[in-house]
Amino acid sequence: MGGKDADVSTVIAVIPAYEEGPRVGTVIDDVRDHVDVVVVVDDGSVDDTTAIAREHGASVVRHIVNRGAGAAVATGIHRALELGASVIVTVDADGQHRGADIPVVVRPVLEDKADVVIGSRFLGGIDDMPLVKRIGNHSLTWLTRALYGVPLTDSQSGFRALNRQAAELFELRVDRYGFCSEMVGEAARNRLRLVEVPIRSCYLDPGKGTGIADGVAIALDLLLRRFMS
Amino acid sequence: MILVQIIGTIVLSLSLVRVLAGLRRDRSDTGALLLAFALCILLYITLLPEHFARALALLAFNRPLDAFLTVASVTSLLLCLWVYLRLNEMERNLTTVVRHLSLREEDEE
Repeated sequence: MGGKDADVSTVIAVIPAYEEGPRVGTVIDDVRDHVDVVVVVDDGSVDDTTAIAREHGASVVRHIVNRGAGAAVATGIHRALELGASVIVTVDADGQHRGADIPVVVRPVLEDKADVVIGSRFLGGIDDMPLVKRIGNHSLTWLTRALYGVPLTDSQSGFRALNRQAAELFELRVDRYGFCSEMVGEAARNRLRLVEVPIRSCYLDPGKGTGIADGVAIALDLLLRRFMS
Repeated sequence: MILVQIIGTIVLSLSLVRVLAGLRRDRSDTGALLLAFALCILLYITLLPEHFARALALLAFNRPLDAFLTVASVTSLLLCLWVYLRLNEMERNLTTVVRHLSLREEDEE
């Protein structure tokens, strides 16, 4: 699918990974059939994430120290652009996203109906998301909508697709989890077409990912960036 | 309007125009933004001193201890914000270096 269906499109998956040795191989295998190249950004893991990703055929870029999910995604986008991507799709390494949803997320970009696509967990379906995360996600989505005027249902989803033009225009500066909202802001600033599509998501490790402190930091970053830019 | 007000208004207006011109060139200059804000307040004090005195009394600023606490609180908040922004900038620079190194390492392999 993706680039394999369209002659001129090269679809590259970017997977930011930190200490995901036990899962990253499965995620790569799940994603590989739907894209042309898989780029894994090992964000300073001390486990065997890099080795396993290479064993499973991914192109691996390794941060020497942990810089956060946002920094890893930005590095992955840099790498994907160097590799000639026409469509970049970002997928979380914790296994919460399904490779089978990649064609759904990539399609609006391939059909030139959108520049940026967000896979919305709240439109599709989500299993086992802890209540605190659900509240945090809705709060941050509400804040992102209020600040950027973009109608969204899931601003914090890491499952996204963007075309080359969007990837080149984006100036991603947030290193941690705030990059999700920052991307929405960049899309609004550059007047890009942003759409949401439904995806299914499953939390295999509810303890991992964004916590309350991260949520507060994201909100603060959002406000500062909006009013100081 | 007494002479000192006229002189003050001219000096402050010229300074404000200069700072605003700088801000127009570089909108991300937070130092210039704060300076422009301070100059606006000074201009207000110069032009309307009696109004300013009434506003101070209304906000309980005419009592020295209250005034000190308010100014100290606002200054602390601004200082925290400044430190946060500086740390953010340092982190971004570090990330840029890490990214550059990792991409170069990948190219060499």
